[in-house]
Amino acid sequence: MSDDHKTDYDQLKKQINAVGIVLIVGTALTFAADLFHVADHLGGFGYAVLMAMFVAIIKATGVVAVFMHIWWDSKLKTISWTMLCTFFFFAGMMGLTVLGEQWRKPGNIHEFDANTGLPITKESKDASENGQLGDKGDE
Amino acid sequence: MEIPYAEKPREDTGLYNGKAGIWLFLASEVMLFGALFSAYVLLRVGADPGTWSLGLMNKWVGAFNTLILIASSVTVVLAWICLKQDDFAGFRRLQWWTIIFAAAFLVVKWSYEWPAKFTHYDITFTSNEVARKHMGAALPGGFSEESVKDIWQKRYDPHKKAWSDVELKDKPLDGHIVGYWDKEGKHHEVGAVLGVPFWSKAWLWRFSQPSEKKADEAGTPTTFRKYNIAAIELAPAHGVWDKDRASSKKPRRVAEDHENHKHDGDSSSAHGHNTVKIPREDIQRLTSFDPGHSTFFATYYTMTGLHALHVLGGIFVMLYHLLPISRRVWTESKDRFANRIEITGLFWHFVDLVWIFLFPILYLL
Repeated sequence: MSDDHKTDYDQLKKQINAVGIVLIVGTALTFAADLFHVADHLGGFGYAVLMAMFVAIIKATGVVAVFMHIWWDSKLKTISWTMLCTFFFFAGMMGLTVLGEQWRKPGNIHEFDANTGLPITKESKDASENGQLGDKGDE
Repeated sequence: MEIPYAEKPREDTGLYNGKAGIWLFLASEVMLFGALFSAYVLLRVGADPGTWSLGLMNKWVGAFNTLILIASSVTVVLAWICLKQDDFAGFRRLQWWTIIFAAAFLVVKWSYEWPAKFTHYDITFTSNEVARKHMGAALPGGFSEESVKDIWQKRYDPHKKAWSDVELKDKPLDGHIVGYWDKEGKHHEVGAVLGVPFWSKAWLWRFSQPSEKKADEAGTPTTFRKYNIAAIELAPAHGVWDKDRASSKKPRRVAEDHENHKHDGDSSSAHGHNTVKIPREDIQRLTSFDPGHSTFFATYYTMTGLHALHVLGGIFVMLYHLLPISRRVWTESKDRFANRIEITGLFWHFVDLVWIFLFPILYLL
């Protein structure tokens, strides 16, 4: 909370209690959804992930905005830039990791071509094998 | 010498130095936990069907700990408000509540949740016939493929895709080791420690045919070699293999050749369960739910362990703020002391934030 403006702390207490209730209700909802297999009725695991993460993000927003009092901070710039830079750096690093992981999936790359240094994909291997068959046919 | 910007904000950052520092620290924490979350997602997506043992978690315990942590997050911020309203006694009261909640979280985790896992065992078998025999002994009505399928899918294959891809011998029978027979045929109880069933003496045992064979050849010590174990007595998991037994008044079946057990069910260590005798030569792999059990548990202990260390660190800092020195700082400069509590609170809310995501990911999804 910024100290350079007058704060109504009694009002803030009410907001904190309200967020506390949101956190408890959110936890209960997520737990109940799992207990009663709500996602299975909706269509599968994807819905479970969506619901759980949706509730978790709402809970996290409440904690950051009210408990960590970002909402009222008049000098938001420093914290916001710090956290935004963190987020984008992290997202970038994870993006690279995930892309690399996709690239290495079985069936995607078998080996590297010794002459060109390029990865041998299923398509290029098939084309190469067809070409070899053609050579043999010529003989 | 006066420390600059300990109370009033700097012109350029708009924050007092401690607050800028804690946000930078939290940014680094986001990276740390974020990397672990990402690793978890990648490992899970890449896991073979039927190998993700998420279904072994106790959701009720996880939910209980979540509520405890939420309560602590509320009390820690209310404690700071007390200081802003010049109520030092109120601050101390709420800070103590925060510490009690935090300690309760760790007690549940480190004295119940983890020990219960370290004494809970999975056993896979050397052949399908052997698996069928022991699973049949564990199930009250004898072997039933439907029952085994239901248990296994709930625990290892929530998407129900891999039943036919995994052989019966590789589908584990799980429970607590309550005793063993040595090679002379003598039975030994592996009782509870201090009467607490999940603090069993059968703690983090491990066995696998290939590694045991190597150990036999090399003469290296293992649990099975140390106790000269010929067979174990397993109480299949309560409410899982033996669903009706807990409420039933029927006499309990116990493992064959068990001299020390009476058949009226008064053994202290079996806790009202059936027990199954499993000879050493029938066991392909025996492991407790420890980090080496599976990729899931390796990530689970890494993430919850690191989180628990943060909780412990928070407790130490909050205790420091309750020492007599804190009143002196409060008397000298109320703003400075309130800032210290605010910074501690920001750290504590981050710990809560991490758990908000850990709970659904590790216990529910």
